[in-house]
This record gives sequence, C-alpha cells and structure tokens, in this order.
Amino acid sequence: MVKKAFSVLLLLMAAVPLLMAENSISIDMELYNTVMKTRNLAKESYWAYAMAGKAAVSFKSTGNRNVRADLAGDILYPDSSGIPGFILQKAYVKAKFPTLRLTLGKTRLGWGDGFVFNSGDVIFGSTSPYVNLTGSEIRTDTTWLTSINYPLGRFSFIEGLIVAPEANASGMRQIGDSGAGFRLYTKAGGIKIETGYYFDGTDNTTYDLNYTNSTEAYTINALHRPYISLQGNIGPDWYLNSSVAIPISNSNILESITKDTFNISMGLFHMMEVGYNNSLSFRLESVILPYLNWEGDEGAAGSYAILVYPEISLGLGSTVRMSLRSIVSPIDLSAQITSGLSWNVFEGFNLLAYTTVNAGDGDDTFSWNKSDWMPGVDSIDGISMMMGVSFIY
Amino acid sequence: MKNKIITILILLSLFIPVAAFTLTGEEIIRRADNIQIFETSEASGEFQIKDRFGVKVSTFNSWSRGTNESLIEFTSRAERGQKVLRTEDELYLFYPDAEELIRMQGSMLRQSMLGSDISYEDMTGGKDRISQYDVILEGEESFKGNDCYVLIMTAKVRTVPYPKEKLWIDKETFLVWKAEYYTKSDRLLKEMETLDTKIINGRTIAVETRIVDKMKTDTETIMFMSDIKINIPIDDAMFSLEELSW
Repeated sequence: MVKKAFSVLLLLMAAVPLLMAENSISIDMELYNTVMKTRNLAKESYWAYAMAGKAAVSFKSTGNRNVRADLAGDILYPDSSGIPGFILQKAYVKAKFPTLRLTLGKTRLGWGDGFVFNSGDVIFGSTSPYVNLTGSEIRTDTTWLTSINYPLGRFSFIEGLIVAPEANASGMRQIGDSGAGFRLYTKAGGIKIETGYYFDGTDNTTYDLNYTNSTEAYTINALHRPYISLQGNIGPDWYLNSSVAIPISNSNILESITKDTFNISMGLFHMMEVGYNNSLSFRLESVILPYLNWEGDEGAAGSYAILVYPEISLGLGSTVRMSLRSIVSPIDLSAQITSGLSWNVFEGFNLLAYTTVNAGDGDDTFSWNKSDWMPGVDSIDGISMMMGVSFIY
Repeated sequence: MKNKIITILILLSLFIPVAAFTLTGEEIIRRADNIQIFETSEASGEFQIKDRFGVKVSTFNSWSRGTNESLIEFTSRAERGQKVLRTEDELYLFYPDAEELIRMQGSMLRQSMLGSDISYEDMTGGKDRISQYDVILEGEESFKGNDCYVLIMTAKVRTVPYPKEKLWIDKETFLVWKAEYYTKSDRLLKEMETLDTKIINGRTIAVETRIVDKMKTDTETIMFMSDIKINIPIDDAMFSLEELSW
C-alpha cells in the first residue's frame, strides 16, 4: 500500500512540469501587522496586535484558445484556533463556441456599475455599508453558477444564468431555492444601457432586506429582482443603477417590502493630471433607498435612506498612490474613513499602509464606541492601523 | 534681352523642383504619423521601467485597426488577463479577477499605461498632432548618422501632455529618432530616443525606444516591440466586448 502511494506521488511529481506548461500559476501574498482597538468577551476595550493576511493562489489554464479555466483560493492567516482558513474563490471552466460562450462553476458576474454601491448587482448585492475599504476591489463574492453569453454585435450581448441553491437547514438543495436571470447589455447614443432580471429563490435574504424597517418577521421564499444600469460621460464619467426586490409570496406585505427594497445607486468618476507626472482621481457614489429612514433614530443604524462614498486618490509618479476613502451615513452623521498608502517598490512588490477610523456615536451606523458590541461578530472598536506588504509572483 | 530672359527662366526652373518638394513642418509631422498608422497590426510588447530599486517588466499583446480601434492584453504576472479595448471615444477595461467590465470615456484615455511614460492614447493611436500643435521646421541635423529634420511643436490646446516638443525626424523614412518634451517655460521634462528599428512592409518602424525622465535621476522606460505583423486580416470580433471579456 505504501509502495502504491509512493508510486502515485512519483507520477504526480513527474506530471508537474507538464501541468505547469499548460497553466499559469500566480500567488498574491498580502501580509500585515495590525494594531487595533477591540474588545474581549466581557466587552472590555483593549489594544490588540496581530499579524493578518492571506495568500491568493490561482491556477489559470493557458493552453487552449477556446477553453479557459481558473482554480483559485485564499489561504487565510490562522485564527485563534491556529488553523489556517481556506476559501475557494473560483473554480470554473469557460468555453467559447462560434456563437456563444458557456461558463460553469464558481465565479463572479459583474452586473451593473459601481465601485462600492451598485444597485445593479442583483446577484450578490452591493448596497451594504459594511465593507472593507482597504482592497483594490471591494466586492469579490463568487457563487456556483452556469451562464451563457450570446453576443448581439460588437458592443451588445445578452447573458443568462442559473445559480445553484445553497443547502438549506435540512441539508437539501431544493430547485426552488435556485437563482436565475438574464441581462441585456447595449449602447445607444453614447450611453451604455444594461437591464436585466434575477429570480432570487435562495432562503438567504440577508442583503437588501436587512434595510426593511418593518418590525415583523416574514419568511420570504423568493424575490423578483429587476434592475437597470446606465453609464455615460459629462466631463466626469457617470453611472446610475436602480433595482427592486418584489416578494413572490406573502402578498399582504408585497408593497411594503417592494418599497423598502427599491434602491438607486449613482456615481461620478474623474481623473486628472496634477503637476508633473501625477494624477488625481475623484469618485463620488451614493445609494438611496427612498422609503427607509430619513431621520436619525436610536437603533436604526443600517436602515437609513442614504449612504455616500467619497474617494480621493493621488498618484505620485508611477509608483506611489495615496487614497482617502469613506462611507458616510449623512442621516446619523457617522462615517468610516480609511486612508491608504501603497508604494510599488519592486516588480510585483508593494509596501502598504492603511488606517481606518469609525466616527460616530454608540448607536450610529459607524461608531467609535459601539453600544451593541457583539463578540465574535464585531472586530474594530473605533480604529485600526495596518502596515504590510503584498507580493505577486 | 531675350537670351537674358531665357537664362533667368532656366535658372528659375532649376529652383522650382526644389521649392515644390520642400516639405513644410506640418507635412513632415503628417508623414511621421502616417508611418505609424496601419490598416491593421498585431504585435507583442514589453515595458522595462527602470529606477533606483531595479527593473519592473510588463508584457502585453496588442492588436489594432486604423487609428481608433485597439485591444491590449497584458501578459505579465501582476496584470495577467487584464485587457483594454479602445474605440474612437471610449475605453473598456476588463479585470478578470473581478469579472468586471468597465466602460470609461474622457480623461482616462490620457492616463499613463502601467505606470509607464506612455498613455493609452499614445499606445493605441488616435493621434492628431497637426490640429493640436503649431509646427515650425527649425532646420536639419544629423542624428547618429541619420539626416533629420528638426521640428518644434508648440501646443495649441491644453489637453496634450506636453506644451512643447522638439523632434528629430528622418528625412528619408520619417521615423522619429529623437524627441524632447518641454514645459511651457522650456524646461526639459523627458527625452525619447529610438534605439532600434525594423523595416516591415517597406516602412521603418521603431522596435526599441527609450524614454528618460529628466526630472528624476536613474529612471527610464524602455519599450520593445516584437512579432510585429502589419496589414494582416483581423476578425471584426477582435475589437468587441466578447473578445475583451474572454
């Protein structure tokens, strides 16, 4: 038995160079020294120091012009148990046929426009204020799906997809818990027009509906999610998205939930030269849920009608970039502010530094001293500072 | 008297061909631009960005059609799979990790590509230098043994990266051998030099160029182009969202 296992191992080792020839392997390592104010199980505040980070490993196929695949995962810095975590980010195969493209596996589809807030992202949801602003990409969720992309000319296509259901409490993957939808992407009069529909059959309704200001609890079996997304240029580039979630059952609360989940996101982006060889970029985004709370209310954090995301980024030469990003809740006057600095020193190697500060009272959307602190859920109590490196090789 | 007139006419006629074939500054720039414009082209390229910490290398493949359509796919590890599709007035970016298709217009077109000294606009055509600059033919000089026209271009609009440029353009091939880029107050910012050329389809094309940033010490960008193919059939779908997001 040992001899057999040894033979298999030898065969695998011999196959590695052949596999390498057909694959592109990359590792994106990010490691940070993190100092932050947090709390212990007794909710007492203290300053913590920890290493943090991840290694994103990706195996991409390169050998076939008409078939592509990616197997990618994040190996996470060990938690208190000492065991490194692992998240499978991608595991997909794409095939390009003469008239259409098929994708099958775990991946992401980017519907709508928006860096932080995107009402057009009806598959994954991009309206929550609680995001990590230190990454170059803010929304990176993936799911198991099958999609078909059919071109309708050079700048237009339709795309259909089916999202596999997650296992419910009984461990069953019921067909009614699936997701399915389509989108049309085209251009008219210099404006990008994207519109689509997603049937959200999953039991996990944790995103748009967490804004619902109803005091009663409802079971929503499925939702219709139509959306529209427009993009153009008026000097700055602009984008505008809107979507709504219409429940299929519980018709008595249909109007209430439909109104509560109606949301509009919008954004402006502009980049300009500043002085010699420097660039300055501005981004301003907002998400509005017009039927939610327009007045500050105790315990209403996370259910306010408007959130704003301003960002200023200064590139000094080609290697240094400084940024100031913030998610602002104008109703309760609270904000999460993240300043960042990255310096591309060597090829693939960056020095990174971030500081995140929460400004607001205890029951605000963001607070320096959160009043309903939940051990195991909340981590940063007011401020965190990270210094580290990233290296892609 | 008659003989005198004939002699003058003969002498004048000797000068007529010279006058008729003396090129203006605008015509020289037009010809220099034209040798860089192809019906279609395909090439591989490499940037070497050198500074005091070493060399950063980025590689890419590019395809172009006319002056306004191009597709660039980055092949170096840090940017592998990222693509840029340029049309006349818009730029589409595709980030494979986020599976995100972003359409941009306006200011993004003039931004530096991969932190180099070359903008998306420079890289992907869309040049119309005659309408953007006043051109003066300053004289003629030999540069590395090549007879060159020396031209001064002064910007008429504010949207160009450099207010003033001085160019050394080959009198035979119309290749730009050297260029100096100045501020409005004549401060030298950058210097470009063609290091190597190749004759492809009868045109002399720069395949190795060096750009030195005169405002910094020990920095330069060297761009290599290889596997250049000109006026080859390229499928219409190459410049489409389908190819961009593949």
